[in-house]
Amino acid sequence: MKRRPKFSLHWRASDSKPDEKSGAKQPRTLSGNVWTTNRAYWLIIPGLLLFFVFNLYPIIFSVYLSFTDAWFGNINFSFKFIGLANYQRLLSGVGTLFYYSLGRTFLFVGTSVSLKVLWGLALAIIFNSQFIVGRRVFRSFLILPWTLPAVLSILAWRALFYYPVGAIDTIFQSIGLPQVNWLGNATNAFIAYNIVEVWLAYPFMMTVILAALQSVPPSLYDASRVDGASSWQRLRYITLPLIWRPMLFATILTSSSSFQTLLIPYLLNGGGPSNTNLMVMLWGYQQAFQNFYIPGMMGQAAAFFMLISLIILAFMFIGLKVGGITAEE
Amino acid sequence: MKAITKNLLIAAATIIGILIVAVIIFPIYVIIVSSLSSAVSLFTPFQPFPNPLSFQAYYNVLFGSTARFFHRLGNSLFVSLLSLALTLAFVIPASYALSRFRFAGRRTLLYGYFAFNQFAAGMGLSGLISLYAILNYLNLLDSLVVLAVIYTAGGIPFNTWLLKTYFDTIPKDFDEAAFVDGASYFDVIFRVLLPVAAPGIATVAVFSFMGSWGEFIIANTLLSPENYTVPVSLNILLGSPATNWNLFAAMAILYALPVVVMYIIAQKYLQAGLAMGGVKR
Repeated sequence: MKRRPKFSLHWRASDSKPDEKSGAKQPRTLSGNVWTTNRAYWLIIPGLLLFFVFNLYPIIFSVYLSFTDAWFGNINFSFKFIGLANYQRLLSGVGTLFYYSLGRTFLFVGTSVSLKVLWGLALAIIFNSQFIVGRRVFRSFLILPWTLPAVLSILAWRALFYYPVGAIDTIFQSIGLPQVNWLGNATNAFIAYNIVEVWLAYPFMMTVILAALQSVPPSLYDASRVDGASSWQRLRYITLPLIWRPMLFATILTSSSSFQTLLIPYLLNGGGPSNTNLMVMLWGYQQAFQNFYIPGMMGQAAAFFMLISLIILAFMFIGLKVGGITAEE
Repeated sequence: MKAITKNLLIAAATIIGILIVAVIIFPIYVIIVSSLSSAVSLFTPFQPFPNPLSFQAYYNVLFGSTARFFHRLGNSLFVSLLSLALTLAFVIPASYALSRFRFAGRRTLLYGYFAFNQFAAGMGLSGLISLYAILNYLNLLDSLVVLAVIYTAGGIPFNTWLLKTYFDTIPKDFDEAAFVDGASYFDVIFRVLLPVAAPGIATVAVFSFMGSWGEFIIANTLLSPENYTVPVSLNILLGSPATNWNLFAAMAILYALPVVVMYIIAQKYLQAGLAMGGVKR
């Protein structure tokens, strides 16, 4: 039962206070007075300030850093402005891994995103099936990879991939398969990255797709069954058209996170062997914090992140566009 | 006949489901088994069952002196709980205001937070370079308090969005009625809204805790060995060939435990937050 606003002297008194800025101009309704107020700023500014000082300002400052020769030796604010030199060096591609890491990363986005979408879709469809007993229990287990701290999971995978005595190679040996040097070979390590990325990120895809699947009205399936549609036809002509938009949105988000993968290459084998799997974020991090004793490296890293951010911006732009479409429905 | 087919289908589907889950949780199983084995090095072949069963690794991690797990755990707990408290203190008022009030700049701020959320990781690393320079200049590089503040600041856009969306689901009549009865803003937030918004606030709390608890890159960059948090020391532990793998595994399990317990308790809300992925509306 809704409570009716009671007549209250107290409220009337505060309503007609002369110092109440909004009081006079706004309509004399409760909503007018209570919900439109400058007091909101006092509630928002503390958080905004903290966010600005420790997050936004450093980012803005790093734009300036990208035009300097900063490195560990002059990071105490004695670095010099050097104009576009960092950008020129990166874009020229001479002596840097700029284009290589970009290419490798886009390859990783292509493979890992396809795998994530397919695996997420397959699991969502399987575990939405009415034939599985205890779907809820299954789903709780399936979300586990998302629950665990990523560092822990990736390190566990690193031990699993350990050559030649890790769990995976031990199993391969016992069923007669050749043992694989997972992290010591460029292609194998790339496959390992994909496995770990899919393992870490499918719960997101699966959850989004499951939510979409559950919003499909069952009557549609019943009707199609009456009309004699096969299960493939139901998937193709009923399920997919109804879930593709949330799926597309999730795909763009997950592409962006694949593009920004850092922990997986860093913790598995440092982007190796010998930098063959150097992903963009890892290379940026290495320049800034592992090669920072090389003059100019922190400035170059800042410039590198600026260039990378343009690409992420494109992801975000597409995401907002698609997200906007989704929201309108 | 039809019933038999249906039962067969159920059996087949459930078996497929169990197989898939088994494959997926295999890495977790491996850590658990290793943590229950007696001294295995990284060079010992993997055994599918702990043989013999031993709790020595847990004992060593908890009471032994070499791994200093308690010290690391204390560091992680301190940072995560401080950041959690700060997050709630800054996020609750802001998300309340964004949900209830209309004011100039509201949409700009909301979209700004939203955009930042999507953009954060890439720019965040670049901001870390400046942060390193600034903190180095102020001689604050190796401070757990500063680390907690950085985590809080980083989580403000996401957490504010999350809680704002939750506040949106609470009818305005709730606070309106309280205002009519003469309550102050303070009263409305603390006595009326907070009890109703408890699930939303709990979700933010858990997200904040899990974020700081699991963060690796910033801690790894800023801290010195004395102040290492658990994830940083886990990486170092696994990187050294002398490490006993069962010791690492036991430490990892203990490290994961609080997060898993939280997840089990708050599963429903967290899944909703996961589906949102930091993005809604």
